[in-house]
Amino acid sequence: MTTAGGVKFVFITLLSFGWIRGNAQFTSIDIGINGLTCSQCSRSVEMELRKLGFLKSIQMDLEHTSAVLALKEDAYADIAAVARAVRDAGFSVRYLKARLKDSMFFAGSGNCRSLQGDAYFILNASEDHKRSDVVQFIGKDFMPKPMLKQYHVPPVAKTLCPGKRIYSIIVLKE
Amino acid sequence: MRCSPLLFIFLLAGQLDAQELYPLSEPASTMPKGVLGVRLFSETYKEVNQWRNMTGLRFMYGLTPRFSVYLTGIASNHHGEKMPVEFPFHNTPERGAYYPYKFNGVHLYGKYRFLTIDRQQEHLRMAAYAEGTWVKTTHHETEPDLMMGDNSGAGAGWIGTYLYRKFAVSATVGAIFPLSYSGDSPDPIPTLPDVPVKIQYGKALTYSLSFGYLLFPRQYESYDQPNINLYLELRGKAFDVAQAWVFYGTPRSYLLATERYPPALQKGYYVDISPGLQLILRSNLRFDFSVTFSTLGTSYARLYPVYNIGIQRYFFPGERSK
Repeated sequence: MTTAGGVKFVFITLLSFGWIRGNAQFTSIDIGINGLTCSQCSRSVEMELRKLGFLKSIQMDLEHTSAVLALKEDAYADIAAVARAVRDAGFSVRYLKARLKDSMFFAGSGNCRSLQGDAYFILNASEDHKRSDVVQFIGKDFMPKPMLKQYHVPPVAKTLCPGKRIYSIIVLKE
Repeated sequence: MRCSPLLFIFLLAGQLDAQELYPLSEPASTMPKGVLGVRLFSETYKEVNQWRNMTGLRFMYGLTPRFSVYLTGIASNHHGEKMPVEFPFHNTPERGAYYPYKFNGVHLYGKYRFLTIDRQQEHLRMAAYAEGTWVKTTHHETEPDLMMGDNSGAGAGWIGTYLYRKFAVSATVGAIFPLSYSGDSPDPIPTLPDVPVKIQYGKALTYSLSFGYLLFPRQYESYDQPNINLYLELRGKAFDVAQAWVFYGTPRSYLLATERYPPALQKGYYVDISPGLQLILRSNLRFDFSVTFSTLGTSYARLYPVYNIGIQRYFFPGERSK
């Protein structure tokens, strides 16, 4: 093993066990919002999102009822809080996708990644996905119930992938 | 004044954007969590030689994403210190009498959204509400009104609001359980003492059907675009006959037979129609204008047309910080 290869191995190992702290895991979040029809409603969502300290900017799209959230450089994104802000404004999440800051997220084997105490269970882990840097969150807080039925989240996910919060994600092909 | 609803329905049957921020009716949607709303609204109508006005100042708060509470203080020149002379036999309602403008009391309203089916630019929502009013006012008609503080009492009901591809409609069904009022009715002979009376206002079924459309902008570009919305609301009540006691609280007290009551104290129903226009600035400051006409039956508690105005704004926590 070369020196570079050794460093990479240690980094991947540390990343997999959640020992690297203080880094942002995503650079941006793309969120679709359901039930939204008016500019006042859109503004209400934006004002709820503004309470989140890890967001750098919020770009609401009133026509398509979606938003692009840019994240602060070193802030850890609380994905559950993003979905909660939409609900607090009185609306529902249609989809929530996030762009990874570091594609090393997918390095290593297995379906589980751990960051800042949160666990990310990859539902569709494969070698191809290591070239992608966009993930979609799967769960009742992140999509309408009918869409959730399309995904199978194994009940053992909590055991396989322990964490303060356990997110199920899929990797999107670019 | 009467007005056909068909004309407005025909005019509104276009492919326009919908809104559910009705000037007069509550939609099933609730306020954002932790947001404070302030609304100033009034009803005004001409009565003989003067204008009657009822004004409410409302504070609204989103306790949770699904539960909102409103507290309204109500003032008006709609209620006198005493019941009409010879109540309830004659002069009820007491048209044209001068009443000073005064604070009437408070109205408390809570709304819980229990069903939410959201899709892209579509939603179906249902909510249950409960309300209560405490006022110390003389109200001369059997028809109860909690929102504008005609009388004390409680109420509850359901709201359903559906929005599909920029078409919105909302329906409300509820009930009002008014409390009684005890007061004095002046004797027609000025040298004689007032006659103590008591009235139990009629229970009421309330109903409404509201439509809303966005006229401008045709395409959203920014929050700074003024929004102009057009509304049509059908609202009404079916109310029970009142019960009135004369010489109440004295040995001579008796319940007057309802056949002897004037029409304003008899059971009845009505459906009013209220076309309305709404201007919203910077996606927050909202101005409502609507006029209420009679279509079916009549309310004795108001004279038509009734002019309704409202100004409303939301205050978001920390909105000035960014």
